[in-house]
Amino acid sequence: MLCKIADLFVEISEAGGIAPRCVNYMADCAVDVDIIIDKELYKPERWKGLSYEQAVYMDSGLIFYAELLKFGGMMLHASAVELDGKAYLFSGPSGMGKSTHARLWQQSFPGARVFNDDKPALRKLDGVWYAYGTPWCGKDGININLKVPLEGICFLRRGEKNEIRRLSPLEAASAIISQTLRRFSSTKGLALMTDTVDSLTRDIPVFELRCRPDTEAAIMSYKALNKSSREVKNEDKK
Amino acid sequence: MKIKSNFTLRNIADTWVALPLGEAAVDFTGMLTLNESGVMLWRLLEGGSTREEMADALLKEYEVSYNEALADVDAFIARLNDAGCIDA
Repeated sequence: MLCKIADLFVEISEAGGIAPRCVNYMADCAVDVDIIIDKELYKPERWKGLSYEQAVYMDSGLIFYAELLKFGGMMLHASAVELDGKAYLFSGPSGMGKSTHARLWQQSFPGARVFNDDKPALRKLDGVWYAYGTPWCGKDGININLKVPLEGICFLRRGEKNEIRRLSPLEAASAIISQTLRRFSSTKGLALMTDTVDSLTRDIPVFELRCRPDTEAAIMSYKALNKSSREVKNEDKK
Repeated sequence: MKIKSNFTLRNIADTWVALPLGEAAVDFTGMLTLNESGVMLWRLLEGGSTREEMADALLKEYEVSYNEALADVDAFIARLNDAGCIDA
């Protein structure tokens, strides 16, 4: 099955568990195939407790992840929201309320929509970072094939009250690495990943939000992540 | 005593960070960061230098006594050991 994902032509030799999720990404023909996801590389036996279909979902994602690094991109474990033509990513370990927070945006801001609920792709093209929908979209299957300029990334933690702060570049890099592919068998792969994270943290503001699952938290993260709102706030301070 | 071969030094956000390859990466939660002298000591340890040779290298670069340099080397090795970077 030939797909176009993150502006790359991707041949998936046996889509299996992800075939239904690839429908929005199908391409008719490619001048050059950029990435081949070969079923020979799947290792379903290492995913104990997962069905074959689920194992294909995991393995195809891992292969795409590793290959994407060669094209200046990466995937981040996050819920991705599009609002007014900008992408906002909510990341963090499972159970920290990424999906819940993304849905709060959808409820609080007209026009906001979740376009990927597990592993959106990020890629820098001509100096601009884009977030992309991918077939690796999580159990709810929210899966819109979008390409949107990336505005900000926010890591979520559960909290008693709502608080947000901007992370230093090193804190941001550490947080991002904890939520992306970090198991490499070669120094080359690891170097590509760290270079991509380095570039991302130089270009894109990263925040940490400790929050309750309420509308106030959504408004707080919007005001911090949206560049225009942030600048207005800074003006007020002067 | 040497640095485990699966660890590699990378520069991220203007900071030197020791990162592991392979399965160890799954358990990786923090990052071991190194300053300039830490990078120098890392490279020496990687190359098989002894504790005393590392202290000598510190003496050449910094105005410290030999005992201070040795103490710095020991503290550095203890940090790496805590981070799981050292093969005994």
